[in-house]
Amino acid sequence: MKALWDFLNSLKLTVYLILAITAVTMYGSFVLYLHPEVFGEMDSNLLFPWLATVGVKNLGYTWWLFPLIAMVVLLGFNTLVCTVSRLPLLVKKYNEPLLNLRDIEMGGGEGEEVALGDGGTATLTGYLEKNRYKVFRDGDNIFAEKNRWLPFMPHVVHAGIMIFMIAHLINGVFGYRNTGLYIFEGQTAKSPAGNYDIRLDKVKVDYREDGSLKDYGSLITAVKGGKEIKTGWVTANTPMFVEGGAVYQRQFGQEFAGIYLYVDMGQGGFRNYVLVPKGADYVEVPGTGYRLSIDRFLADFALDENGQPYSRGDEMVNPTVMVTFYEGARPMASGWVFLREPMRDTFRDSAVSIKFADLDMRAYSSFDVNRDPSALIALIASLIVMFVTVVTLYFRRERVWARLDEATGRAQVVCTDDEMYEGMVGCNFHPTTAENN
Amino acid sequence: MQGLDTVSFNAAFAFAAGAAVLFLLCLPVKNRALMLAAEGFTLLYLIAMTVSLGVRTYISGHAPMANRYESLACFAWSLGFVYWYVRLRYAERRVGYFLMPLAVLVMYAASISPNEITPMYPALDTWMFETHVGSAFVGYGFFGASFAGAVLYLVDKGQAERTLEKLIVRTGYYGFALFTISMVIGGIWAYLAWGTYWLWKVKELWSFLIWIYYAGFLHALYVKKLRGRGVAWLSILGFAITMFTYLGVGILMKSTHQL
Repeated sequence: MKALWDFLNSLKLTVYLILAITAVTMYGSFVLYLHPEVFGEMDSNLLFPWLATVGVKNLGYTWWLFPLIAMVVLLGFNTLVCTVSRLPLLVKKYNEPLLNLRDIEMGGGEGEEVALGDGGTATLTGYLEKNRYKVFRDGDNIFAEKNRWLPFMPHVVHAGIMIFMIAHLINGVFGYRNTGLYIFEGQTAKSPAGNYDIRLDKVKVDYREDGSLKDYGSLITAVKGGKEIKTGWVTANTPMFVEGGAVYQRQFGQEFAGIYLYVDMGQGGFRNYVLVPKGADYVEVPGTGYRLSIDRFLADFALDENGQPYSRGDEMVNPTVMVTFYEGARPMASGWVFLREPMRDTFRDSAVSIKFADLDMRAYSSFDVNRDPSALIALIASLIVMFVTVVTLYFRRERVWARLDEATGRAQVVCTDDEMYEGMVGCNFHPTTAENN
Repeated sequence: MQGLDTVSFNAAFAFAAGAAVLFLLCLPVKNRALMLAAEGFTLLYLIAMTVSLGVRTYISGHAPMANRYESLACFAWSLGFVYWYVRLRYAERRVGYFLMPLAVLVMYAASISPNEITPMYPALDTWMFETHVGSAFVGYGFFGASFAGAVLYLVDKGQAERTLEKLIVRTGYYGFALFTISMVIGGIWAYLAWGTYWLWKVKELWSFLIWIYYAGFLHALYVKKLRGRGVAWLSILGFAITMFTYLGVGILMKSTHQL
């Protein structure tokens, strides 16, 4: 057990693990880049379910993820053991600062001898206190320390990282991710979370004068048990948080939903627009006993050498449809009608005129509905890591050791700080400055 | 107004080239006047780049990070900024031997990129994107200064070794802290924009690499065997990883993170 503890408590383990993680991640990044057919859907799923399915089936490409995860977990234990083993000593040294006197043997050549002047010891302690050092005295030995809390900071960062890793693990097990929930404006769809519905009230798209996209968003309402529980805009960087999850705007656009035909059956007859929904076999001409069917639809037509329309693309550029007009089940007439070039219409019938009036285009949005139960914990942990890392830049733990010789009015003084590693850099305090104060 | 942007960019390019040449001349010829002249050019370079980027920000209404030209220009600016930070904080001019020639290369790459002012895509039009990218660039600059200190340490051994060690370590730590800001803010932004703070994409993997590598670098300082030359070599390798992440991944590998 002690051997395991010592293994996990090793700083060398930290450094070599990080180097190994670096090497494996480098390798993995190339595999991931070269094989989108394997990794393409990885982000649409949680890591562990993906690993258990796609990952296991494609071990030739995904094997590196397993040692990577194992090493990151081992690094987490390494971090934990490091903090657990060092924290008691730090607390002890904080509470019993004179223990620090043992850290440096005075008079070992590092110190500097200074005259204390008329004020004697008070000159030195007064200077240190004025400069926000906490001064401790044990007989002829003085230990003074500034920013005493700094040694704890790396362990706060360690704690932040560990909490973040745990939060990520919780999400990998208890979260969910659902992509590509398409809803047309005005329609309602069941949330993939299952416990509420999402209604798309409005799609908003703004463009700049130069035609570039300025903003987009969807006004949505979450409905549960027939009751509206939340309404709001979901935009580029603003999801809607609802029922423990979040709804994110993914795509938007307009999709072809049907066509409007203008049907004119003469004086006193039916004269109005008829909507033929996409995919409908036929529609009734209201109150007449007649009906219509769309036999062919071309989004962008061209004419062949016989003058017959054929498709040259799927973009809704220049559409045409072949319409058949029925009396009951009996076809009366059939022909092409054109939206932008009605002069080419081939539909002819003495009883009815049919024109291609318009397209029925409906706005839609697609959404991702995700739930990350530990997102708040991950956020707080990462903010702690960031805050402490940055704050640590601006403070130094400065320490001064002094051995007094009241008889001669002199003192041996050593000062150092732990800016990066002990003894490397001198602190701001200088004995001659103390003398001058 | 856009003319001022171009003029100041071209002036900055010229100042950077002048500074780089003078710094390189200082390598064989230890001449105080040459060094001061190099520094003067570096200051003019930073001022001109600040004007150029400031004008673009004023015209476009967003931080200049919308395309490759602006990305490179921001990185070039950060190299000048870091030079002056190191110069004032550590009284170390010699990082200019490396930082200014690098600035010239980056400026050259920017100069051959289309420099039209483009609008920001809605998802990028947020302070989080600007903080994410800005802190990463300045972080890269500090990693560059750490690299410069490491090279000096290895080739100029014996001269102010402790100061150089301090420079390698401190600038590495500054880079790490700034890159931590970039990672955390980038993660928060990604969570709000895409519903997850982590994506299995090449650039994200390499960014994680930079962060964890420099975390390891900071721990390596406490391993006796790695102090001195070991730390210097780790800093050099770290900057190679950084540059590959910034330029290699962006140019050689298709990524949603183009820059």
